[in-house]
Amino acid sequence: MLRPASLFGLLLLACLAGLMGALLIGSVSLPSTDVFAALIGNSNEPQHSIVWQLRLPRALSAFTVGGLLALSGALLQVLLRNPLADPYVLGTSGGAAVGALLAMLTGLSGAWLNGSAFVGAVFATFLVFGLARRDGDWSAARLLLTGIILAAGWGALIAFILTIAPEHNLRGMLFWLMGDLVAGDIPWPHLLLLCAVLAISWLLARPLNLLARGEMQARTLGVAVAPLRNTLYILAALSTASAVTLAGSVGFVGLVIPHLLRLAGARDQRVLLPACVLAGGTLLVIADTLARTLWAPQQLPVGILTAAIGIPLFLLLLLKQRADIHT
Amino acid sequence: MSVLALDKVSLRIGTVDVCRALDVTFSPGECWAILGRNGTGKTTLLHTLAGLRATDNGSILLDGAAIEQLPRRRIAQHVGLLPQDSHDPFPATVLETALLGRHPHLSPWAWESAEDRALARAALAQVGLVDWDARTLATLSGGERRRVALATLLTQDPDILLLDEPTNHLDLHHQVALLDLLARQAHEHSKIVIMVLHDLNLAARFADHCLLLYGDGNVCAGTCDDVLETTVLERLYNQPLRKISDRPPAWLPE
Repeated sequence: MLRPASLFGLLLLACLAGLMGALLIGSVSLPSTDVFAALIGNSNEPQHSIVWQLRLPRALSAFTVGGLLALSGALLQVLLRNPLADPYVLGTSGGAAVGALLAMLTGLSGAWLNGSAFVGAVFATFLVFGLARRDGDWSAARLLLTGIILAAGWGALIAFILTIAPEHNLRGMLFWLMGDLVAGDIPWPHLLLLCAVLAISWLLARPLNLLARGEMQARTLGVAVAPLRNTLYILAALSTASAVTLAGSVGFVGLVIPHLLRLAGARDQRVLLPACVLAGGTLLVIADTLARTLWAPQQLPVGILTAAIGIPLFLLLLLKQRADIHT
Repeated sequence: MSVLALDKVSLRIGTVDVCRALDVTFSPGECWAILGRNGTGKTTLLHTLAGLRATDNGSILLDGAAIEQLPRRRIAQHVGLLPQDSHDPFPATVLETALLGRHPHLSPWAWESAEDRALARAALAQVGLVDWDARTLATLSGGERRRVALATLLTQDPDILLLDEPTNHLDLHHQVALLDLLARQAHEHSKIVIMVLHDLNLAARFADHCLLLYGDGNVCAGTCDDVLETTVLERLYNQPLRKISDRPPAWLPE
């Protein structure tokens, strides 16, 4: 178990190291002095554009996606009071995927593709919300069930689209489904959303600690549960939709990072939520750096790497925890 | 000190009439036991008193104000509830759990102070959990977890303590210690204690007032001395009883 100060110290170090790695490592080898010079605006082409237009935007995209997914996972786990909830339980990724694949099928790309994925994600989330409500209220169990059932429906639709899609579209579609970051601009709207969601949820963190103990406990200790749950739902839905729009459905981060941090002692939501952003962001930055270098010049979908890093890390901590209990 | 009152309250769950136009006033210093068979609405009545559930008619008055009009935070500063069971899917330590009780007293974005921690530790000491701060709930037995939940309620320090079967999971010694602690909360600290109990003899020994729910809309409320008659209790539980002691009153099922 780590104290919050040492936990954040470690996470910040890892985050800086990850970002530096992402800037330094790539298909064109740049000496670190050139990278630093480019960062402070003190260098010539092409180093400047490699750092500012390729590596930095990509690293920031990865960080944003990882942060959004981990944060959304942590929020949904409290909302559903289920440690097995991940950002996709509400069918968000399925809806986004159908939106994205339909866009690809009709030959759209770029902002249209992203927009279509975002609309699909938001539609899917509110569909679950609408169907799970009854008499103006909903229970975690009904929400979870509705989400899982609709996710299966989206899965079938995805399979259908893949079946009828022309050959030359398939590779792009598969990459999208596995979670893939592409080069682009610095994702300012997504980054801002991450900051906003973190700020709002952090201000709600003490009531969230109570909600995690159950609705009745939260209400008897003075939390207005209904507005809190609605806020939580909207925050988690927007975060997931935004992450999925940026990088497709990158698995694993949203489920594993909150668990990992709880095992490391971050049980208080006021510690857990910011730690999730740092750890989720860092994991994805590292995974993405590996994804574009391990098999170079071929790029791997980043989702493969998050699993390859996340699963052993998680199992290790789980085994270690069991050893701690027995001693 | 707050006063809690039922003002012409009617409650129904499905086909069960819990009470009809019931008027009862709970005053500081009183320790109440709610008794009745399974499914007669004891928990429902307790939750209604906590403002967690709407009445079908009439209102719950907290210091004269209808409880459903008050913000949850205001209610939580005066009324606390120990639920029948708790379930904790996420890891948490004993001290963290007790500290949750400070929530209604802290300003929205404040962190718990050393003083709050001292209050939580004092509450844990009252239920016999000294130096258990860092233990996680998952490593505790059912009875120990029950005492942690009680410490959370004592840390909340409400004027009105509502308890749903507080002796659940507790061994004999801790049942008596707990009920003694609750009776003292009422008598020495002028709190109102209202608890659902299944043990008739413990209720008769520690409570001074009781409220009997028959499940057909009939309710009998008053001091234990007035209400706890053998014939009344036999009708309440649908079970023949033999009185074996007068001071404190005690019965054995026939």
